Amino acid sequence: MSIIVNLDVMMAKRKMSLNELSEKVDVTPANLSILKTGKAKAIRFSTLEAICEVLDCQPGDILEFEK
Amino acid sequence: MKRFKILCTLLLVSFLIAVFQNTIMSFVEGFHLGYGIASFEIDNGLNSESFTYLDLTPKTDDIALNADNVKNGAPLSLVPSKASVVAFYPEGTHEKTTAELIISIINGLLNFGIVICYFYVLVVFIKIILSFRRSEVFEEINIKRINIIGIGFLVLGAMSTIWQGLSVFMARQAIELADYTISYSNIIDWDDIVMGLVILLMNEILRLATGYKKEQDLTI
Repeated sequence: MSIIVNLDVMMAKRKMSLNELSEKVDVTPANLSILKTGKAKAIRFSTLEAICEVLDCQPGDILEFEK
Repeated sequence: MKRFKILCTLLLVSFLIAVFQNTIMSFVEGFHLGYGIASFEIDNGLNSESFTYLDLTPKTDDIALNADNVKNGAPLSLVPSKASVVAFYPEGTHEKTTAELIISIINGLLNFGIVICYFYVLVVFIKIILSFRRSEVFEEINIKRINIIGIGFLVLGAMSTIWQGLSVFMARQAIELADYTISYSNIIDWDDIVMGLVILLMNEILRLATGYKKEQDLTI
């Protein structure tokens, strides 16, 4: 059981690079990379909110639960 | 962090002073004691085969030693509650048995082990303090180092206790006094054992804190 982060899928759909997203959500590229590669232990609501707003999506589009 | 660094500096200075007091001063005191023993033997025409340190506890309260108070010249009676003495075996009065020889060798090895362990702990301790001064507090390497120090203190306590126990055992095999008991009461080195356990407990707290920090670092 794990939470899958589909940030790269959404970024590809929106044709947005990591650097561009990091500038828009005010999170360092290094931290976004940790999130994208699934190494993050947790995500703040404020970060999730900013990502959803920039990528114009729902939290469920970024996070997925897999059994 | 400033307060933390000040405490680290104070701890390092205190530790170095303690090392100076415990090793160099002990060495000087040991030298004086050895010199005193040699002088005593020469002055009293003793040709002792060997000597041993004894911690004595009086069996009764009737033992009183007379002494003069140098400050005012008044006589004083001293009743010893505990005494550390050096017992000499004059030549031809004490032949070491095989068991005593084996115990002596074990005690020598334990002494060597205590010195090695002590210096290893000292080196690791200095590394930790220097690391702390560089603000590297929540690091895995420091947790391992503190663990080594805690275990080191427990090992030191165990070795010291065995050494004391064997010394008392050896002395009791060879000597029996009418008014004093050669006591086992002080053989356990509680200082080192308690210190080791406290350090291990504190290290577990640091380990938990490091885990929380790692989690915090990976919260985006």
